[in-house]
This record gives sequence, structure tokens and C-alpha cells, in this order.
Amino acid sequence: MNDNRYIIFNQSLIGAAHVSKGLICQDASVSCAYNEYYIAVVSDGHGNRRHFRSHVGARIACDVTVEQIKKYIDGGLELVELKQNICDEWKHSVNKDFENNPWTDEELEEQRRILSEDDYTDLLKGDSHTLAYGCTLVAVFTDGNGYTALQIGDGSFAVVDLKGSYSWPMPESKYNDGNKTFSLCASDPMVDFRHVIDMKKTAALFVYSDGIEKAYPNEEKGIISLLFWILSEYRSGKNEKEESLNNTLQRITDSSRNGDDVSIAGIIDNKAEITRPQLSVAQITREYETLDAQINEIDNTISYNQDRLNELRNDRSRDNSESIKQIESIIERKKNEREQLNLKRTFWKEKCTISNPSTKDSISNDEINTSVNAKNKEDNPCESNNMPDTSVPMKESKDCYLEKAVCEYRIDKKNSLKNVGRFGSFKGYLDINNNNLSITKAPVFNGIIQRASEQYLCELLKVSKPVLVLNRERVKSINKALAYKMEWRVIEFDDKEMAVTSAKNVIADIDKWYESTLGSGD
Amino acid sequence: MAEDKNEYWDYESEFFSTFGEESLSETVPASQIKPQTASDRRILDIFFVIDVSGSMRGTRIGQVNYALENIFKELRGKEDMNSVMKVAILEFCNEAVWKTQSPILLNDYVFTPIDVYPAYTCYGKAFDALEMKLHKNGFMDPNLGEYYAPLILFISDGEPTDLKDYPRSLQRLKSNAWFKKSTRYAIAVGEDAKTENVGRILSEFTDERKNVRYADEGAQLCDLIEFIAIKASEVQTSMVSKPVGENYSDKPQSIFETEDDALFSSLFKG
Repeated sequence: MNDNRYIIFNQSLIGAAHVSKGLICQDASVSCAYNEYYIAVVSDGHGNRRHFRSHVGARIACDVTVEQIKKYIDGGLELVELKQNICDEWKHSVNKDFENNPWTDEELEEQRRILSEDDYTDLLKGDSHTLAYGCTLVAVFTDGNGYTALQIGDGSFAVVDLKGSYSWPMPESKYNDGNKTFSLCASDPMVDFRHVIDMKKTAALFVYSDGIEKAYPNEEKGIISLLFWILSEYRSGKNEKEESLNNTLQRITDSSRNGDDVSIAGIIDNKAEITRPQLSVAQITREYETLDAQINEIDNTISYNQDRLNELRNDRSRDNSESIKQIESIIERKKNEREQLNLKRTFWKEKCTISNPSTKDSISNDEINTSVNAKNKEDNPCESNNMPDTSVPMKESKDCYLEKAVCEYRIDKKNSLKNVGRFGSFKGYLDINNNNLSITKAPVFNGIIQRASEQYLCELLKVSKPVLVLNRERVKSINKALAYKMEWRVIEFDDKEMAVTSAKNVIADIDKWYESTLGSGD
Repeated sequence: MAEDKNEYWDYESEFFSTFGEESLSETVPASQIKPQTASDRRILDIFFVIDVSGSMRGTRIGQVNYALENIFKELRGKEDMNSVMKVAILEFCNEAVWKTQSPILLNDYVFTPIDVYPAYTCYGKAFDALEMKLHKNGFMDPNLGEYYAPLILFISDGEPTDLKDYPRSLQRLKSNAWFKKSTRYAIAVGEDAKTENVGRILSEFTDERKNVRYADEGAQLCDLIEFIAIKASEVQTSMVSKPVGENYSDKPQSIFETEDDALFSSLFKG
């Protein structure tokens, strides 16, 4: 245990909003080692004034959780008993704290102001005292050969694997949403007591409160950057790492929308090779789609303001010069913003197209370098559309659009079907409708039509993988992540007309192929 | 750390723009990590659904225009580092038309007065147009960020003329998830709107009778619109964390404590 293999840490910091309201930190956290195991726990006391002792509740939650995990490690408990014991012991300790520290006059005075008469009577009788201690819980423990994580209410549990992938494997609560969370103070907290067990080795395990989650939503690049930074900082062995983390948490709460308390605890493998963060294809896709949505919104804003501008310029009945000036400046500003976002989008577009996750679901450095080299080497119109997979022989430039125009995937059951029942019960179709080429209907990615199409398309195009072409105008409704999962290359096109013309040629060939190879279907 | 780290981070500088590329290196103190950008702020969408039928002509639409202009100026000052407000205006008469293709940030919105048209008051058209946009493929695009419960303010000065059609539209609207989540207020303007039918429909629209208010066509209308929009937007953005299973309402509280006597006493008690 004491071989310095693992680094454990925990920090809780009062939120900026709580400081300004004169409250105290309602979060608690703990990390410790026990026998061959390492434990990290975070508990977040509820912020509502009704839960006026939630800071005590959170501290108790951390203590009883560590105590019960130790019992579990010693082999004295089943997992379900561990969970039940944590709930029971928390209530027991809260009862004890209440017995030793009855409500103060100050507390009662405040509650009298905010509670209904009935609720206040219950509080006086001591019937609802656990409510005052309400808090959430998220904990993890490991011996280095896998981990067990537990959670009630909001907060997050993140895993960094040995390849540098970041994941949030805890099942989602059915009860949490933006403004509410399940709680240890609920009448039956076991209802939301989730757990996850994995026997894989990991590079780091983190548990953190929703104060961090709200500032940096799970699975996005912000939180990945933060966790990677913490991991690197602690691995560096610097003396001031605690202080650095404290400063970082301070900045997070200062800049977050809620100014909530922030807590994080973690277990870091000091010997595992540090691997750079790898974004999953879903993460890349999300990033790209966010930019797309933002650009779309800016376009709408520009278009709205442009219309207003025209109206005002044509309106001779009053002096609109002030409004015209304002609108012109807005249009100018939005155009600049659009340009910036476009640059970013180009960056992510490259990522989307170079990701082509043929054997894995994230981008490696090699792939990035390959793409950069490919870009530098050739000055082919295709290059601007980023198809640098060197395993695929580049076709003549006139065929580039053909390749890109192979198919556009849409879920639209209204299209006429070309039955390919030969592939079992599945009915797929290939159709051109409304100038858009579809390749199958849902469930498109069941593997059957995909294999059939793939075989033909690869043959036709002399490529190793088919290409999914997305018309940017329609890209919103498409779950590109699924396409990535199926290892199809995804390319978006702007020149719809050209792509569709080429697509029509391809579809004619596909029809011929189906007739010759598959007969009439059934 | 691997030797090619710098190359990687150079390439990924955009990727880690949240923090800034350099702050991820071991030499830059954590205190230089950048805070959230403006687009990370939570969005409050405010939808104004405004009757532009002929009866609104004159003082009524004048007061609405005056109020909206003031509201936008006022609300700009209410935005903070945590929230950002967007507005969209739906004008309805025989047809319902959104003035903007998507909600527009207050900062990017210059108010231009609303006109009226010699046409009927079709509530159903307004309900349909609203329903159509209260989806993730409409105005509530999750790619743009997280949303507060939207705020909807409905203003009309008369009974619906599409008596056969509006109930179905309202029913459909009421099953819309974002609509259910939203906070709604309605203002009945002028004597013609002071009817049992309007009171009932608007109560059904808002789900709360106290959120239906009456205003005459004078300055009271302007004040009421301003009061609701500004006060309610404050309430919408001040939601705090609450535990499940306790006696808390999921929705923000109404800004009104009691029903509007001017409207309901004459309609239901009179």
C-alpha cells in the first residue's frame, strides 16, 4: 500500500455564491488508503435553506461511507448491504447529531419564515429533521485491479483508462434534472443508490460534485481538459499541487453560473503511463454539431437584422438612422463571430473526416499526423474535403464528388422502398427522393444492409470503406455518432447539386447491381 | 510525458481552447485557466405571443410596442455571467408568424415596432406555431446549451375567432414537453377580452389563473407587460438545487400571489 503507486487527494471549496450569501461550504470530501485499497468520497449538501444543516449531513455522509467501505473491503458485507448500511448509518448519525444539537433559536426563526405552518410544526416535533441534513453522495474505491463506485443524487464519477479515454460509466439517475436531485435524506434513498463495478485497470478515478459538473458538463472537452490537468499536476509531484488545485477550483466557482460549492476527490495511478486525452467520436461529433448550431443561429440573427435593416431603410415616414446604425453594427459583429466559428468548424470538420475510426473509436496522434502529411503533400480538390486515409487510393478528381456522393442517410419511411429482402427480414431501400439520396431506412445500422451496401459500394468505388455523405442542410437530424460507430467515413458537402447529380449516377449503377446480384428480392 | 506532447497540444490548441493550450503544460499555473465563455451561459428563452388583429390597432399595439422596447433595454442589464436571454416574437391574427427564425440574443436584437393587420384572432394558429418551435429541432436546440424553463407571455384583446380549431391546437400544445416545463403568463387587453371564454382559455393556457391578468389599453398595459417580463425572467433564472421527493414545486413560482380580481371577480363571481 505504501509503495507510492497511487496518489489520493480531495478538496472542497466554498462557492462564490455561498460566500456572498454568508453561507458556509456545504460540500465535504475525503480520500484515504485502507489495506490494499484507496477510497475517494464527495458529498454535496443541498443548497436550499430548508436543508440548513446539509454541511453536517455531507460530512457525516463522507465518514459513514468510508467506514462502511472499509467493512466491505474486509469482506464483512455484500454490495447491497454496503449500500443499505451507508443509508442506515447516515440516518443514525444524523439522528445522533440532532439529539446532541437540537435546533437553535436562530435556525428555528429562519425556518419559521420560510416554511408552511404544517412543515414548521413537523420541524418542531422533530419529525422531519433528516431533511435539514440532506446531501448527495458519490464514492469510488479501488485496489488497482478494477474499481467500485457508488452514487446517490447528482455529482459525477469519471474514469480515465490506460489509453487516455475519459468515460462517465455511472448509470444516470431517473430522478435528477437540472434543478433537483435525489438525496440521502429521501424516505428511501436506496431507490436511487446506483453503482458501477469494473475490473479493468485505470489511470485515474475521479468523483466530483455538481458544482464542477455545472461548470464543465460531463463528457465534454472542458472537463476532460480539467481532469487531465489535475492528473498531470498530481503526477508531476510538485509541492504546490494542492494550492494549484485550490486556485483552479476557486476559478471554477467564480466563473460558473451557480457559484456553487465545488468538491473533487480522486485516485491516480502514479505508475501508469500518462496518455494524452483521446476524444471519442461521439465527443468530436458533438463539438462539431454545437458549432454548426451556433453558426446557424448567427445566420438567423444576421438574416433577421438584414430584413429589419431593409425595412428601416425603406421606411421614409420617420428618422430611423439610430436604429439603422445599431443594426449595421450588430450585423458586422455577427459576421465576425461567424468567421471565427467557421475557422473552428473547419478544425472539427477535419477531425470528423480524419477520424474514420476503422479500428478504434478515438483519434490517435498517428492519424492526426497522417492527415497533416497528406494535406501537405497533395494539392487535390479532394484534400479540401479531407479524405486523407492513405490506405484508400485517391481517385481522379472528377470522381471525387462521386465518391462523396455515394449516399445520404435519412430516416424517412415515406420513401418508396426497394426491397432487398434477400438479407433476411430486413427491408432496406435505395432511393432518390427530393434530391436526396437515401441508403436505408431505420434501423439503418443493424449491420445487415450495412454489410450488403458496403460490399457493393466498396467494389464500385474501389475504397475500403463506404462514405456517408451528409447534406449540411440536413445534418441536424442525423446521428452521426452512429455512422462513426459503424466505421463509415463521414463527409459533408456544400455543393448539393453536384453531389446529387453524381449520386444519381451511382444509384443507377446500384440498381443494376442489385438486379444482377440479388434478383428481385424476396 | 511523451516527447511529442507539444506537437499534439499545438495541433489541439483549438480543442483545448476552454483552458488555453498553455495552461495544460506543467509550467503554467492553474490560476491562468480561463473561465467559461459567453456561450456556456444558460439560456432563458422569452417568447412573446402577440395578437396583431385589427382590434389591437391604435393605443393597444402602441402600448405593447412601447413596453417591448423598454423591456429589451431593461433585460439587457439583467443578464449576468451565468445566464443569457434570447427573445422571439410570435405575431398572430389569421396566421401566426415568428418575427425571427430562431430566438435572438438580446444584445443582437434591435426592436422594431409591431404592426397590426385587418384580420381575425385565431388562437389556434398561435398555439400551433408555438408548438412547432418548442422542440429540440426548433427553438430548443440542445447544441446551443442548457436552457432554463422558457417564459411565454401571451397578449390578446379578444375572444378567439377560430372557436372550432383552437381547442385541438391548445390540447396539442399542452402535451408538448417544453410547453409543460415553461412558465406562462397571459394578458387580456380591454373590455372585449373581459369575457368568461377568454378567462377560461387563458387560464388553461397558463395553467394558473393567477397568471392571467387584465389590463385596460392605457399605460396599465405597458406597465403590466414590463412587470411580468422583467420580474418573471428574474424568477426563471433563480432556480436552485432541490431534492426530489420533497414538497417542492418543479416550476418557478408565479410572480403573482393572488388572482386578478379585475378580471376574475367580474367573470366568475359576478
